[in-house]
Amino acid sequence: MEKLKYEKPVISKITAGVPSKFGLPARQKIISEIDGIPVSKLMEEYGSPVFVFSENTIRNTYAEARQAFETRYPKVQFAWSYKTNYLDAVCNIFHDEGSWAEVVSGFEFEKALAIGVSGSQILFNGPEKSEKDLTLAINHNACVHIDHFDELYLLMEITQKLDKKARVAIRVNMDTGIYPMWDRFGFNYENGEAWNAINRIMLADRLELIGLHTHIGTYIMAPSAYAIAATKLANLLVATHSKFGHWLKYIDLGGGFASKNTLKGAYMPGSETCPTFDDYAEAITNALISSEIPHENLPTLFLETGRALIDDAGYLLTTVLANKRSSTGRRNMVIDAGVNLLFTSFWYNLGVYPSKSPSEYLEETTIYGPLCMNIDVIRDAINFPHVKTGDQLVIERVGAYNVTQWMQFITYRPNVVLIDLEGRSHVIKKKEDLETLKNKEVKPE
Amino acid sequence: MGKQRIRLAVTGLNNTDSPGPGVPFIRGVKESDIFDVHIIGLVYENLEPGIYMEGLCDRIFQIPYPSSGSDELIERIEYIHQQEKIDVLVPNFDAELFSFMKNEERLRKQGIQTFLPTLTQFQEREKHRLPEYGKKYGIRVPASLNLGSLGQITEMEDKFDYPVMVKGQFYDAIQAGNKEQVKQAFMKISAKWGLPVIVQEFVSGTEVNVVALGDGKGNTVGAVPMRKQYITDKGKAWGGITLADEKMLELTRSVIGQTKWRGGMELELIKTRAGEYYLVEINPRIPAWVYLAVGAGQNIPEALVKLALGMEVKPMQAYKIGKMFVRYSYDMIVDLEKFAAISMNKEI
Amino acid sequence: MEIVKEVKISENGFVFNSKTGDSFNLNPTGLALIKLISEGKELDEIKKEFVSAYEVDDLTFEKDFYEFFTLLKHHQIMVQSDPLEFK
Ligand SMILES: Cc1ncc(COP(=O)(O)O)c(C=O)c1O
Repeated sequence: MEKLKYEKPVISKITAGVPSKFGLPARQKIISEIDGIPVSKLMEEYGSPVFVFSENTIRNTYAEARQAFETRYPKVQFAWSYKTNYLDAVCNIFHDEGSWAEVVSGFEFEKALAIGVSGSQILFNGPEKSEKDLTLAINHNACVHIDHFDELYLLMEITQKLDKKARVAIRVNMDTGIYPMWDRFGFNYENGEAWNAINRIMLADRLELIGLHTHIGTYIMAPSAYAIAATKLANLLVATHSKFGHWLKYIDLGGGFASKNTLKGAYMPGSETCPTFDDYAEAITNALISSEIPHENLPTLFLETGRALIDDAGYLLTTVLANKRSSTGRRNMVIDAGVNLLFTSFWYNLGVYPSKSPSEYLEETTIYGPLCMNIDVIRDAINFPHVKTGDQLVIERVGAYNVTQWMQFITYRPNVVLIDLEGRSHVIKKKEDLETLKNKEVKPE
Repeated sequence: MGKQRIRLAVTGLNNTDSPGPGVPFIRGVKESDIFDVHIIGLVYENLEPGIYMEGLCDRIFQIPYPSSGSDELIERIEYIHQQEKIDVLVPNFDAELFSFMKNEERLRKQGIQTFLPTLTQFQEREKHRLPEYGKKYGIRVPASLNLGSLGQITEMEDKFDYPVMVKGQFYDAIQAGNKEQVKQAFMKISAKWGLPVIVQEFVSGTEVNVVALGDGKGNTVGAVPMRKQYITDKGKAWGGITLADEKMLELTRSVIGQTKWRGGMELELIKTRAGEYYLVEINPRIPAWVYLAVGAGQNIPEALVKLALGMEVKPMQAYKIGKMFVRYSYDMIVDLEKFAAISMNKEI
Repeated sequence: MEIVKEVKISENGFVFNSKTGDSFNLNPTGLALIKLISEGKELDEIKKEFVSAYEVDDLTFEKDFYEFFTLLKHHQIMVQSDPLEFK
């Protein structure tokens, strides 16, 4: 006699009023392979957990973004936001596609130089730039995006000392209708501070003002906010020309396009509500083209898009360690990847999927990481099928910020793998071992 | 001539103390002289009273919340369509409108008609955009400020005197009389509804509302103004009376005319002592008190169904003034079987 | 330990506990299992039946059985008065 298909026996309470989704015909998405390589094979080869990046997705996403802007505007230049993901292999793909580098620290600057990016194609942002960093930037002819007056005066000092010219832009903050307004970086537009800074720079001998920069926030769902930002920067550009007869070369609108992840607290999935590159491009380029800048003087449009370009390309493969019941009967699952690897789980409801066909029934589940800490929660409530210890799961859209903000805590950080365009996998960052960690430790004599 | 048979799917059967408009909508359509309706009730929860009301729905199906993804919701509707053949679908929750608006074309291709606002119409009326809305369409709205953080309270204090109304993007409104109360309201609302939190200047006056229907070409097909006579602690009208207020109707026609509003709507207004009207909110759907309009002579639900079916509808202008509604609560005795059926089979 | 007498189990998997007023939902394996439990059968016997009827191995079933059992106790479908009683 043929045996019946087994499914874990479950009983679940029918909550009056709010239905549990348990029992509704489930349509569970499965991720069984990445770019043609089975998840099981990747994990067999590289261990668990493991980050996997798809070169194909990176290039396709980049091409999509580029096309959205280049079909609408004559001069567009992306600058890869290093902080989003500065693994050499990843940066190389972006540079190969034509991206410049956008860095926010001396370390990132050095990393970009080491990869082989020409200094003149590095945009140097951020509130923390030491005299040493600025000297490095000036010597490499990078463009320094000035954050505050103290930095402006420091630059004047250094350029005098070096007797060299510095190419600069200012970062501008402004009200674009976005909450909260990021007014801690740069010079404010509305109160005239930005205009003051421009005037001060235009009068400085060794500072060459070439652009204007803003970064209005991150995960911005409203393309209209960018239209406002573009318009305000265009106003400054026109004002600079009227007063000084000088057309600035570029307007840099920073990053901030939403990736398709779902923010905690959002009602609808991000994949449905987030604007497309076309939506952003339409808003931005319309604002620039319809500004008072004459067509032949339109500035180059720089974009420092981060998460929207890389989130989709990154996966974290993980293994189920245990299934348990809480004291209240709630289903808990422990996996071998914790919040130390998934910083973005603090603000996203990350998508977690089985890698093979699971049980038919879903049950509301809390997914915990393996850390011996109470905050280690990957998903606090997700309808999830029943899976067994040892089953392999895939967490999607983790390409941005996780492999830069991860923490080494109680265990080694895992391998990071890249699948190339031919479908071959490569380790691009090796799993740590005791040596890696002990290397920098020093016993007091 | 016999009545036209139609199969109508309706959500929002939650006739609780914060009621959805589904049940009154169905009542309205059932009184139609031209339609003979087969009602397919769509519910999210297994205790929505509409499930248990005798003679209200012919079939009932449970549907997944839109938050689990529009696709899942729409596929469920398609499954129901295969069994029941839906002619017209009337969603009644704000939260589901987005999914249905996005999929209007997909549903239409299969023969399911809806009559909903466009995404632009829906979005520009959002609460935190009210000042722009007012400016664009020449409507008086309370001054407001969107708070992104507590740091902006000083800015707010420069602009407004206390008390102020502190509101969530989607829901909730708390009156605050001083800085401390604003802070508390901000925390509470931002935790639930996210940012921005909207602070509105307090406009004192009477709350008056209009239920209206726009045909999408700028015509107001129906409009009935009402004053809430009794408001529950949930802020819902428990009793109301139709008004003879030409100004409110003018304002309604002006909004619908300029925006070419498509579908049902509710305008929430405050009428000051001085006789000025402030628009405080536009709900992008028919309100739960729509049956008052039916009782006063404007069968707005029927007209909405006609519009959805592409039929010609003449604007309704007359309505009885001084008609009242009083809500009541009523305990139905029901058997466990119905509860078991909807919980287990997800349909009745 | 037995299933509380106030609990009614229907053929479609709907469970109603008239003592607490709670209702529950069983999946098909859950329904099959609760029936065996209500017949008063012990784990070993139930396990034998399950393993021969379903595509499942001993250990997996045992784990699932205990989890299911915990849930029955949690939902007061079975009662355990002494927390040290082992079942
Ligand atoms: C100056 C600057 N540019 C670009 C980015 C990248 O932003 P996103 O990942 O939101 O696109 C950031 C991120 O914080 C930033 O600070």
